[in-house]
Amino acid sequence: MLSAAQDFLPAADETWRLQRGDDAECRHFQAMANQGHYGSGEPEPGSDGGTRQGIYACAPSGVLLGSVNALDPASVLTMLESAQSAWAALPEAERWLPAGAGIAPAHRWEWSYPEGGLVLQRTVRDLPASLDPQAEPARPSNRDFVWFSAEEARALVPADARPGRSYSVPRALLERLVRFHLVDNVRGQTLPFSPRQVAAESEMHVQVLVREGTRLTLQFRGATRAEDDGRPDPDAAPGDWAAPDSFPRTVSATLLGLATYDLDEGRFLDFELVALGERRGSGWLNNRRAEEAGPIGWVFSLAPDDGVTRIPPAFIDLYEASWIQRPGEATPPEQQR
Amino acid sequence: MRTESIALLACLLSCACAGPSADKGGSPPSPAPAQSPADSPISSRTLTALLDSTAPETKPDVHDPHRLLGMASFEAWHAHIAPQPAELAWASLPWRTSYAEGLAAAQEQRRPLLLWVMNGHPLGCT
Repeated sequence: MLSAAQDFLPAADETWRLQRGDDAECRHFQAMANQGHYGSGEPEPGSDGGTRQGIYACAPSGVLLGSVNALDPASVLTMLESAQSAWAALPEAERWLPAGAGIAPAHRWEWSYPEGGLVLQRTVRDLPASLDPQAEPARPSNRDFVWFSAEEARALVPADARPGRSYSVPRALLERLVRFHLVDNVRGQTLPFSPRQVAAESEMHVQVLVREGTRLTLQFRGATRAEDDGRPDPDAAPGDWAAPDSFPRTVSATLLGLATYDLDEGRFLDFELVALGERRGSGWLNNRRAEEAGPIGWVFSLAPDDGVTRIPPAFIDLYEASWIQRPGEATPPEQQR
Repeated sequence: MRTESIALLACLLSCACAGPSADKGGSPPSPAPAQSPADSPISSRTLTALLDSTAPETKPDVHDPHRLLGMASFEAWHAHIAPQPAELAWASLPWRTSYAEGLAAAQEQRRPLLLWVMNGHPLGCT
């Protein structure tokens, strides 16, 4: 299937915004996807027409060549082969964007990428009932990214960098991890925790183990817990993350990490954090049952800046940080320079 | 690779922490130990003291994930949870990470577009 895909220019994107937005990028997508497997032409006024998740093949002009929402390789391969034929038969005049055609988005969360900051890629996975790390890893796993600005990253390092010194990670940064990233989205997206749902005793300490010149070897240790008891929460996430019902759930974690920070360069050179814990309950969209519980694990690793890792965190719109550029106040990266 | 240096450090620390007391993990961090001389290379004696300050104290409790994590098990759990090669097959394609970027690149390269869209970015959290 990957070889069949070589004939195409591969792109991936988040469909929630594309199917609802009204900027040029979204409108181009809607016109294309409304021809596809979930589309039935133009949706009713006031409706987004439902989900547009799936795999599409299209001409840059927006002419649909094929689409499917399937995970099995055979279905995708069949669609790709059909799309190749449709592309070959498509007249040249219908293939391309007209000169000057606008496809630019009005806002992308990617524009807030924290240049010079700390970007972590996070993996979450159910742990085996045996709690044996040599057991076959359970599938699926899920990914996410964690963003800290350069200033926030520096705040993860003790101001007094002498070996042996230990201090508490600032509460706001710990809460970002607990509310948005130490969550149970193994099987699908989940709800975030509100600040008041983070247990007061949650903590993470960082200790300088070794200092070699300007380089610090740091150890992180912590224990966290977040609980939604199901009662109405005035701080519950608004907008797209507002749940239609109560979803009592608990996530707890024990954390251990190692990192290298260079004081002169002002950045982390390494960062590896492991968290093991327990999850209980359903987070609405994460395919768990209310009574379900089990062991869960997370790994946070320094993300290489290779473009593909510039994906925004799932809960980026809930980050409480002044450096986040929100809709209406954002500037495309090329205009920031 | 820098991750290897972390792994090496973890290995060294786990060796240093091994002995009569096995992994503990899960406990809140210890208070800061006594300082070593500021800005001086750390001595092996000081390093041992530092490691002791965070060393495990009890045997792991295999029924409680909170008590499984320590320096001796750090690498094993890291490897267990991190993405497996088969889970990263998609990464062999040179993805553009937005629809508009993909359209522009497809137009420039005179190719059709293959677009993968999900609730949540397919290359991130879905």
